Amino acid sequence: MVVLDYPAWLRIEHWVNVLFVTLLIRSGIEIVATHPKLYRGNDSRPGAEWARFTRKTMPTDKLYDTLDEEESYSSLVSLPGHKNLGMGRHWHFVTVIGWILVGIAYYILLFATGQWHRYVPYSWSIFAEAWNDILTYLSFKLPPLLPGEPLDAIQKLTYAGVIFLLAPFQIFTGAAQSPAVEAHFPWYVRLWGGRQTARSLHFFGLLGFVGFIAVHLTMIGLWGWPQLNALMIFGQARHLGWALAASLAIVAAIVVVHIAATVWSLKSPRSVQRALGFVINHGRLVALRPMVSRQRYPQSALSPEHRVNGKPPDSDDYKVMAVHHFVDWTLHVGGLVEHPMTLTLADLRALGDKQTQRVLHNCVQGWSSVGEWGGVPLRQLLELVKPLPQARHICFLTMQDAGRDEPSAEGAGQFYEVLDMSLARHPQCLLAYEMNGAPLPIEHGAPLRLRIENQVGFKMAKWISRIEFISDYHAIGQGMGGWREDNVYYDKDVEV
Amino acid sequence: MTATDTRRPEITVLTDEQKSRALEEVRRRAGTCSSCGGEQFIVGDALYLGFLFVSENLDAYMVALTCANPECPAPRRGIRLPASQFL
Repeated sequence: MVVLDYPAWLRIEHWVNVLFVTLLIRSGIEIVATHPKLYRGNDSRPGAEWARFTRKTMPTDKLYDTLDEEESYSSLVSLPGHKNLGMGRHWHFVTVIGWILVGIAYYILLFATGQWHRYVPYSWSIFAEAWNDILTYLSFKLPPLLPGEPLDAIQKLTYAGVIFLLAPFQIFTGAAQSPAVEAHFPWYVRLWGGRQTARSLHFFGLLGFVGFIAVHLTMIGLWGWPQLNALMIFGQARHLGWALAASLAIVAAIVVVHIAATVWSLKSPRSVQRALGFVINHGRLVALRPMVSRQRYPQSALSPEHRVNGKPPDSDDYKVMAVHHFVDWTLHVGGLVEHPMTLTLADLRALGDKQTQRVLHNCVQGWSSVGEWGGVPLRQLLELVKPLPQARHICFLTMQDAGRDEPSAEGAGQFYEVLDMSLARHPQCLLAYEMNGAPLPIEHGAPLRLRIENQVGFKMAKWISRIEFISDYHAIGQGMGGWREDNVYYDKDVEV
Repeated sequence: MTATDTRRPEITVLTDEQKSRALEEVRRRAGTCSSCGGEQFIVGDALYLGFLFVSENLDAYMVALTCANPECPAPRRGIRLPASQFL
């Protein structure tokens, strides 16, 4: 018979989990703040949300975009707070990597040492016992522990639910929000009822953890904070005074980590982007980069309305081109290529058979839509211009000036994005000039935008005017691989 | 490829009367082609600017003008007009 005590690994994992789960909750709230509305299915049609955490109302007579809808939450609840999606994503993803690794180690040790007996129920009768325990708690009494076990029935069921159901549920619903996973395994998104349903369920999971923590702390208070903390710190119910002090010191240390992460993110976001991005990118490129999009959504799945992130170029040159159906627009393709060229919209249309793809669009903010895009596969352009061997990236330069066109953007200058060459030959990497069977609308990037379906939306530059093949992107802009990466600290590779 | 395939969804097609009113406004403003100096234009479609562009007034349109000078190196132009002046 295994003694269900408190071995050192279990105690260490407990406290590491406290840190990770609280970091995940705060950074998760930061991510929610960027599009504080929840939907069902795959669409994020304005007005279709079933929950909203914002009082903002949007104009009906002027184009607004999802940057206008962002909320700025306090650092008390979000990491780092104050409308910092880039930082929130870095903290969420780096923490989830640590959390998963710790979780795997926990599962292995749990079953290798027999400690799983403390969580896994032996008989159905535990449900009746758990109900009795609830009634006992409601009468302000403490129920009996299970014979030979450290927990009562409701505690055992609750821990089992959190460890074996809620934690994997959060990981699986999180994965269902990765554009790479969605693009490669469209059935997986359907399994959850759609991208937005997965996001909503993920939010419920967050609430589940918040509720669990609140009840857990209450229980510890009821059963005896010093005794239980002594068990979780020293492994035995002794030195209760020291246990109380140590528990407060550990909680204080966790709070200090949160404060440090918040201050670091607000004061020096670039170094956070570089340091955490280094960890995240390696994992992401190995696990998610190989996932090639193979989406074929049916016509019936098309979203009735596709939200907009980014506003059109507010220049007379652009408007005059637009009113003339972009006849005078040209695309310059150059840099490290054998055959630089300049193409008109008519040239692009004549390049070959139009490719269309009905796919799920994932905005970095969390909203999504299904759209049909038509245009020229980027690989076809590559065959024409013939990139030189040293070309490792493609820079898409646009007609948008963020400072002029986007009052809600944090930054200024010409919008650009850099794509790795390895993505350019993906079958659904498209230079799109059509959307839903009509010319690409102005708000969606007319006359030409990029589609790369295993990435988040901001990589798909709109209003493109120039494509440059380059060996290195560090001398462009602030050197981070795109306007969003430069100015709002997003990650360059965004398979999630 | 048909002509309708390339028509933009945001474009407002003008009637002859609306085009005449727009042309009157061009003449009233003594508009000339900034490329060749030509004074004759053909009026095309209109694009509603008020909704799409941050800086535009809510009633603003861009009306397509094409310089009538066949030698003009850049004949496609436009004039910004409020709806009340041509619609």
